[in-house]
Amino acid sequence: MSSASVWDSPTPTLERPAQSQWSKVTPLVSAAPWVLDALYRIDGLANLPGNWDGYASPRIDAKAIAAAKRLVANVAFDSLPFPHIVPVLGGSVGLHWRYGDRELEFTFHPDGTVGFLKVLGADLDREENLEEGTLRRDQETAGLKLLLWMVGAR
Amino acid sequence: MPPRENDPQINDDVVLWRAVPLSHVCVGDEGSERPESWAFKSAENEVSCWIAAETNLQDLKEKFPNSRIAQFTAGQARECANIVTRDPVEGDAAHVLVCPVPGKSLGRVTKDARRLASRTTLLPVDARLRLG
Repeated sequence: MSSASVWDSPTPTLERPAQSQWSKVTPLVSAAPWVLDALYRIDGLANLPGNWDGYASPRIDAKAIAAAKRLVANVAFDSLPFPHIVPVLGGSVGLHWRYGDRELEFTFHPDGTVGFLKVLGADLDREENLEEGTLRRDQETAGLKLLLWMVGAR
Repeated sequence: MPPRENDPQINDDVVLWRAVPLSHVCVGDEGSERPESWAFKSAENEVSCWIAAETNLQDLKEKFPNSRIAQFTAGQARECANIVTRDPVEGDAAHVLVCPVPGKSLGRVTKDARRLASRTTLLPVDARLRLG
């Protein structure tokens, strides 16, 4: 599956969009209920000490935390389940969403890049069922498109 | 440092353990727990593991108190385009490294970490098994 297929997919209809038009920042008064808790939990990663994993990982980077929060605030629609919020080696932040047989992993790195991994189905030996890439610009919009793929028609 | 080389003396059926932080345990297929793919990545592309038959499980759990133990075989690691090599550190002869095969791209590393994560089994929290 090429990365182009993400953008070519038909746009699914959201069950209850949090707002009718997406903007850079979703006002929390109109955000889905899970969002505030997710933002708090991402913030909490800043409290992890160095060597939090036993493998000498550094503390979680403030820029990575901020980037993860920006994405979450920008995708605050009710159709999304709560993400698994994960400290990642190297000071990064991971967000993992699972929806049916589709998954999305985002890794927010201290250098500002965001890696993603798309997973479709349980057969991971099929090359077309895994797709990875890096979001370098307009990460919130690109992340939203990936999440729309995840919750979209299948 | 010279590139790591696969150790053929570590047979494919050798069982390996990897300590996985509790925060890296997620719900996988059919509600079962599995490690996140991030548990099988390393900044240096060298993932620390231990040969189960040469390791006291309780010692490993005490060394990584906020972790679960993921179990897989050297063969499963190799199926995901990795090499397995011994790396005795601080007198710990059971310590091995799982590393990407030479030339593997960063994207390939990401995908194969996910594949390996789905192949592993998490030992029960109260597992007190001692092998060897």
